[in-house]
Amino acid sequence: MQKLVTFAKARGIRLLNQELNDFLRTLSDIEHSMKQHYTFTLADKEILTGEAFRIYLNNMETYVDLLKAKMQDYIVVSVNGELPKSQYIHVPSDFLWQTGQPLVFGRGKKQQTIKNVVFQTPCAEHRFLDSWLEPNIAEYEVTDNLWPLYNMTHDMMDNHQIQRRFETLAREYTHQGLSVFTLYRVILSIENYWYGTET
Amino acid sequence: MEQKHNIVKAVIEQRQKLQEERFFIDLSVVEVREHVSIVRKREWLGIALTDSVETIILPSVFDDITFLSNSDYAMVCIDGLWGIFNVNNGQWGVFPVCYKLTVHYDYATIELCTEEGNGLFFLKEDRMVVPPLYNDVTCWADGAYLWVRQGSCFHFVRKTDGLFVSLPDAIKAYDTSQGMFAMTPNRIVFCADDEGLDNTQLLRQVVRRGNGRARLYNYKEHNMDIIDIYGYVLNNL
Repeated sequence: MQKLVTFAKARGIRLLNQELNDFLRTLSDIEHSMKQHYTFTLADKEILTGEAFRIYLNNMETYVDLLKAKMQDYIVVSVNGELPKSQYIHVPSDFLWQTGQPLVFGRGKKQQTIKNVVFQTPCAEHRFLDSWLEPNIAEYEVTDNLWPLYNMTHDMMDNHQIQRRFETLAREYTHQGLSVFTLYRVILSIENYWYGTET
Repeated sequence: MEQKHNIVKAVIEQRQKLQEERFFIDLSVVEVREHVSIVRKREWLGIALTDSVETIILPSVFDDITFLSNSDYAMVCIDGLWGIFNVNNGQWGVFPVCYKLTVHYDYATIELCTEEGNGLFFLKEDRMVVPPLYNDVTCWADGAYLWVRQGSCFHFVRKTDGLFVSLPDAIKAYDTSQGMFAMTPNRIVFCADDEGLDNTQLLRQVVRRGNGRARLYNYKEHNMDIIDIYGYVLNNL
């Protein structure tokens, strides 16, 4: 943690000397208060691995947070409202994320209609943590498949190693061109789907 | 600028008249370059054909002439003011109104410094691509949009027709043929359209093509930034 504080100080950022867990808790708080960004219409192929967005379904109170895993695959980070739990959704290759688009979601394969699509973007804290974990993150291109990292994260969580090996795991993400912003969402999705807790 | 143009024109005419009166003095060759040579008549220089020195391309009324290597251009000075002369077609690229010319050989451009401001001459297109009106200008002219600086803000000029695209938020601009990319004060890079509005789709397209990273250069400042899909600068944090 001391290294992180020194690193922050060198860049003119004042960081309290707290435990890494506290720092991650701060990150989690940021996530909850994070601003939603602009609405968009994008094709599946136009979205990069690790990008996150929220889709509002049927009425605006029901939403699903998604994370692009690979072409046509989207990890369900969390669901709200009466929607069933789901690990991921698979969309056709010509699928367009836009208002009015029908989407088959959940185990019941019920067709829903997208009411709105809103981007979620990382903030300064995520970028700061990324550059601390991997100062050369700029040199790493973004992977086209998140599933191997998802499985690695899942294994670590299963074996209760996530606390001890968090730094290694996070560094693995940055080496695949991904941010802790994505890692945080993968952890949430695993928690919500496999361990049944909704954060 | 026009006033300065007229003054220089008058000086040229006056010196030409004086040289005509010195018809008995022969021209001497100072420097030969393929088919053209720099010639001297008393204190002033001109340009003539190498094979026949009597065939004048530029009269011997100038204080200094320097050929640009690997091009058809010469930098010409009169009364402390510099211009760009195309020796191939015998036309002025830029009339001598600049107090300084900076040649960027790597990019085939010449930066023009006048009392009104800085502009850019592009040798490949034989024309001034940015009028000399700004505090600073890029040295790279291969793209469709070229950045300029006015005060502390960066803007773009469309090369084809000189359309000025105002970006009041930009604190840095990049040299790229992919569009107008600039940085906001909070270090986020954005892409602008012809109206100066955010063109997120284009930025995403460029970053996606680079597998999640886009390298943006500023050739004048000799630096590069690498951005992600959100426009965040990942290097130089």
